[in-house]
Amino acid sequence: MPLDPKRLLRDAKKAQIARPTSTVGRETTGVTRAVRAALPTLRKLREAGVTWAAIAQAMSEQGLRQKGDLPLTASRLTAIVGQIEAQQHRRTVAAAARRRPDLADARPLVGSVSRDPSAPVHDPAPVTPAPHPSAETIRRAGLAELNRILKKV
Amino acid sequence: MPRILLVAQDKGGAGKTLLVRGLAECLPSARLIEIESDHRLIELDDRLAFFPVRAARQEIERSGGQAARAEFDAPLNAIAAATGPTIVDIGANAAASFLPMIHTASARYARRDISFGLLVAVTSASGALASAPALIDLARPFPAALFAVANEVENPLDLKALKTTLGKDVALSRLAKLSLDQRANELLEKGGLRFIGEDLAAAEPALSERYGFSEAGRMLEDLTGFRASVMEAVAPAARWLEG
Repeated sequence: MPLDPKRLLRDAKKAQIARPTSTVGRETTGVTRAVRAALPTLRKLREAGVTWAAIAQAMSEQGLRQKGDLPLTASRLTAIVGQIEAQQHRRTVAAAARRRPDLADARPLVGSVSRDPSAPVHDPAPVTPAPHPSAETIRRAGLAELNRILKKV
Repeated sequence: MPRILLVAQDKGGAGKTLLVRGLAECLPSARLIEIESDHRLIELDDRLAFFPVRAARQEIERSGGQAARAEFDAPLNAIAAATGPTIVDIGANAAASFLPMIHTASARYARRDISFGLLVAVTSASGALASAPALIDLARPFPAALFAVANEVENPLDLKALKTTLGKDVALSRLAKLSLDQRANELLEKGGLRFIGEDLAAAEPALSERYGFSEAGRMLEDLTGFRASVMEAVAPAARWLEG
């Protein structure tokens, strides 16, 4: 079936506007979005010694509910935080890889590998290493993965 | 009268955290305190207070030990505020510094009716074998119930010799060698023991769908058996903690 290019352009733009700005594909409830937005605050609370259970209770009191219209639990909250932090780490690593000028300038070798001595030497800019995830972040991502396997999420 | 069970082993990888998880399964109402360089018991967040031990070696040396001692103030305060059975997971390389501080404050803790027990994890690794009696000696000066678990999951131990080394006043139990289905082991590493008791039975259909009926059954059996073994190994200490 031939496509109408004008209609495709118009409908795709309309659909794009209607989609959430986040690139996350599967935010089925508002909880993940709310946790993502509040993550810096949650981290500050944790640094101040507030427990995950207390934070989950406070968030529930503001109307956040998890699957089954239940109050948000500490384990659900930490699973979501683990997922978000693992996702943020993957994005940081991918962005760092895209920024590497030595990879951007790379050209396939053709013919002789000997270099023209008169040619300028390509000196790639130093690469800033991507920040490494903490052991706790890795553990939380593992726990989130387990919850997906058990279909708790 | 709050009872506090200190779980210690200064050699890493001896299974101390696994024993803490087993105790948490035995006593679902017990609170936990984790004193570690990084937070490990994440699945128990709703029952746990985490106290990071992060002072750099240079800072500890520069301050003549003050930096390390200051880090222990918060967990010592948390112990003083305990109102019921509490499990304290003392991270590797922290117990030899922490136990003398409990000793120093033991009379003040006693005035709050707080009593202490010590559980040490032991493996065949030379560092763990050397650390266990040293830690028990540190706990003897303050009245403490003493427990040790011979962790034989990786390698067997000479239990008779170990009993002689640790002393007659130490209740010694063992965690026997077990072989786990590989996928079961992967789940164990991701979630500790808690999900086995709370979620595994309900997740049987999901596991069967993902791994097949037969392997899912093996995973359930292995994980359930492993949790029971760990709980059995820590049972003497759990009974004391329950009071």
